[in-house]
Amino acid sequence: MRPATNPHRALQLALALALVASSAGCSSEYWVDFTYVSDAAPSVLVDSDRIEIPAGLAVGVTATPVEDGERTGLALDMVPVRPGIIGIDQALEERQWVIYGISAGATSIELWFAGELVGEMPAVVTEQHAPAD
Amino acid sequence: MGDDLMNLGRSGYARLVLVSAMGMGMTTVGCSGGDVAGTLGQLGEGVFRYECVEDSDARCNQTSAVDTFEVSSDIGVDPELPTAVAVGARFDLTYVGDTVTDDGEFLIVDVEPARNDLVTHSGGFVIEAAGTFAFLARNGPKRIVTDFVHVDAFVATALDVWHLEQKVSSVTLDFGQETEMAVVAVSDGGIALAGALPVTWSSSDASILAVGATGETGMPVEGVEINDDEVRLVAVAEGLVTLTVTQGEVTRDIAVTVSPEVMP
Repeated sequence: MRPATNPHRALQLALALALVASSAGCSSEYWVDFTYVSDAAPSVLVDSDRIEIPAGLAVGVTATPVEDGERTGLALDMVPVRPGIIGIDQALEERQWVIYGISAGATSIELWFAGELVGEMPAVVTEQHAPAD
Repeated sequence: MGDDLMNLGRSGYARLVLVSAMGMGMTTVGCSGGDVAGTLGQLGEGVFRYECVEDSDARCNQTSAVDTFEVSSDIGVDPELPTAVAVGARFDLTYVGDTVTDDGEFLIVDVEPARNDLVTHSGGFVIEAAGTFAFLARNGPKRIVTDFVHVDAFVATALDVWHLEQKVSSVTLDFGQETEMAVVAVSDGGIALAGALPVTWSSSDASILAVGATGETGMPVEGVEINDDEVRLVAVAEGLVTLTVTQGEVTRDIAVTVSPEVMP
């Protein structure tokens, strides 16, 4: 004889399974892996979550598109939503980019993998502190 | 050239592939092959070369008044970038290096500042505030940066006056002596600053001490403005005068004593 099913417990289990299913990869995750290839001032931060750079400074990086945790060889373009705040230009070497702060402010960077917009990442350009001499 | 090899931290050589650097109105074209002195860019694709745009830039000092060994550690030698430039001072940069993409496309690049609200270009770059400023060798339409370098700028807060390779606050000249002096703008921290700032030299009594442009001969003409970091002095008669030099917003007075004429 089968034990009686608790209806509340069944509902809880169903909801939990639905949540797991929705987060487990119905859609791909995209980000960019960055590695510095030039000197980077302590006030410069470039990682997969965000970019932070003072106005007037520049940094060189390699940028590799990542899809669902796997590095890909897809063509990458990174386009500032507000180009008056930050510049991101390709360098001569493959996968190399130069990021430079143009004017203090916040914006985001469109990530394009193989010509398809896959997401955005935040970027903040800070005001420089006068250097000590 | 050998000395430059000792300063790899700031300078280097770029193997020239083909050069075309159009620095915002100024075109520099080089020839293929050979090494080029300058400061290596951060990506190692080429070198950036500093250029004086006016005589008042101490970076291109021509006289022996300045101990260039001491000053050169701050200002620099040859076309290497100086340690820093003065806020408000005029200078220029050119880029020499690889401007060919992986596809074999040759790029025309301009040298331009990362931020153009505080860096202007009018007969040379002028940095309007203290800070660190990236200069990019860039092809704007294609959004390609071939290389970049940073330049520091500080406010000039004092002037060092040099005579016979020594910093001086006063000098004694012989009757009839002709000599040269030079001025170098310095920051709060004592860094010698490159760049052309307006300069004026004046003597409190031209009948005792006359001032004129270097390279000229004869008695200097009174009242002629000398916008140069270097000046020629002629001790005309016995006495004590004040030599005043103003560069940018800073002024320095030097006491000059002219000794009596020695009779045979």
